[in-house]
Amino acid sequence: MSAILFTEVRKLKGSLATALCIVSPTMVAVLLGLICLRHKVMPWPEALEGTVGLWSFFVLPMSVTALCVLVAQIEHGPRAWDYLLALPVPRWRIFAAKAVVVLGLLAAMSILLAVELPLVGFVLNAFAPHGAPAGPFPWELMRRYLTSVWGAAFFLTIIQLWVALRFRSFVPCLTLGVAGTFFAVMASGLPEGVFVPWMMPLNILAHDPTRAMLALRLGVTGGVIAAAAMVVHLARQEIRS
Amino acid sequence: MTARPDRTPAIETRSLGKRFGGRWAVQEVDLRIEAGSIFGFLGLNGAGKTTAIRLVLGLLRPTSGSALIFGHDVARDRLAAARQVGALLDARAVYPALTGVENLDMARRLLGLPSSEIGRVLEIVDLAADARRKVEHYSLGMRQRLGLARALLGSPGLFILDEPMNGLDPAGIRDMRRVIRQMPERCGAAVFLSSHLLSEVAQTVDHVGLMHEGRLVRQGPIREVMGGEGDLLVRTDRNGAALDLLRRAHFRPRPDGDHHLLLPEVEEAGAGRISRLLVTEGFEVIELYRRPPTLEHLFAPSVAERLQVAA
Repeated sequence: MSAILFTEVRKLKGSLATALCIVSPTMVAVLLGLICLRHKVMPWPEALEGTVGLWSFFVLPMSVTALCVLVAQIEHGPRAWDYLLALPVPRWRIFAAKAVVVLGLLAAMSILLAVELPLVGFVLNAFAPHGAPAGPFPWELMRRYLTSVWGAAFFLTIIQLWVALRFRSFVPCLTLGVAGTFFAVMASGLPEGVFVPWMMPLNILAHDPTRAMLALRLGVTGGVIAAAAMVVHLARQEIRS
Repeated sequence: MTARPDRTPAIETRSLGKRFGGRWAVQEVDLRIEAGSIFGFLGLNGAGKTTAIRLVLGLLRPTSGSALIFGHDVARDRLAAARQVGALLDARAVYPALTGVENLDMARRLLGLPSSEIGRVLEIVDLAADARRKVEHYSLGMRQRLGLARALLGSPGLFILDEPMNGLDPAGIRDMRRVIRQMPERCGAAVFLSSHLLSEVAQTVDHVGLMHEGRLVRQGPIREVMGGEGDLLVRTDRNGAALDLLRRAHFRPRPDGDHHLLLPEVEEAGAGRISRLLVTEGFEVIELYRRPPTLEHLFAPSVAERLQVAA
């Protein structure tokens, strides 16, 4: 399995997927800086909640959509499936490795965001202290938010990856991602919204801790079940040229 | 790669068939490719060659029959069968953002081979000088050779090459032929090579199978399947008179276009006799050459023969 993981990671070299992992969280961090400069001074917990809200509600689902498309296109683009799946390697491992890599990239994006947010505070303190969020940086709150959002995003990530790997065209995955995010916007006010995979990351920020925990459990459990189903389905499907 | 039992065919298919919806793409294909041979799998575009290859590689599940690689049933024991195979299916199936070496290194790791394998296969395909360049800067020919190098990793007992000369320029075709011809000697491997151009493989393979409309209509040594060495074409200063002369001499000439006479199935000795006869009778022989058979020429009798058998 380690050899497959190594090759899957190496395929990312010079790919747009890697660039996306840097651009998406950086965009959110820069936006935090701009918001802080234009508004009255906010305490750090409030600034963090707003930023993680933006991340989990919109940027993360759209980034996951793009990420899954880009990772799948590494194989679809050069029509490399035939070669890859004709190798003497259990096929399920190839698809499992893809899921691990995408979840790893999502974790890397979260870590980068965790590095960039305090950095934005540091830069604001140094160059525009009037705009810097007030109080000490809430490290524990950030760790809790970002790890939980990552866990809750497991389900939607696997769904997007499944569709991206299944279809050679990027359109189904993109359509699903846009539709899912749009549906999440519509369902955001509904109590049932927590059951929509694209809403699960945002529900981590719910003030009701039961709802946040439900979102995390649904995200992780749904993700594990969907990942197992995806691996079995893709490993058994016929590969047509 | 695992040891191969002696005399076990590299590929054996038994009534192999694949149906997509209501249409049979491949039907009742019984192939037998001996270890160490170079087998040309010929057919026009859409004849079912690629579907048959995908069935042999386990990328498709057969609707009927079975495919065995060195005795391993592909459907039941795909991993054991796949360990015996190096495949080149599509020249584009390499990762363009990586270098040639990186592409090979990934494949080598998946196959659990030592890193020394990379240098060995690069030498064989003559790509060592460009191996550190990104594949996106490679020509199609170089990509084909990289794909071939990847297939060579681990010295498998069987190479499956789907249209390996597609899109190559004459120099690329020459290089590819050279490498393919060396495979049985260098690795003791069988080569299963598909093409829609008989002329491309005629100089490379020793056995052929002809696919037509999903069926294997002929299989055997290339000379036998090609039905000799091809038609003889003659051009003289007086074709009309030459036609009569050759008919009287019990040949079967017929006009071919405005300038030539065509004599089908003439052996080497017969060609000499024709040449001597024409010169002796005072004809000026402007041209006398063989036209190699094409797939289109081969298929007509094959299909007719098959229909007769079926009837």
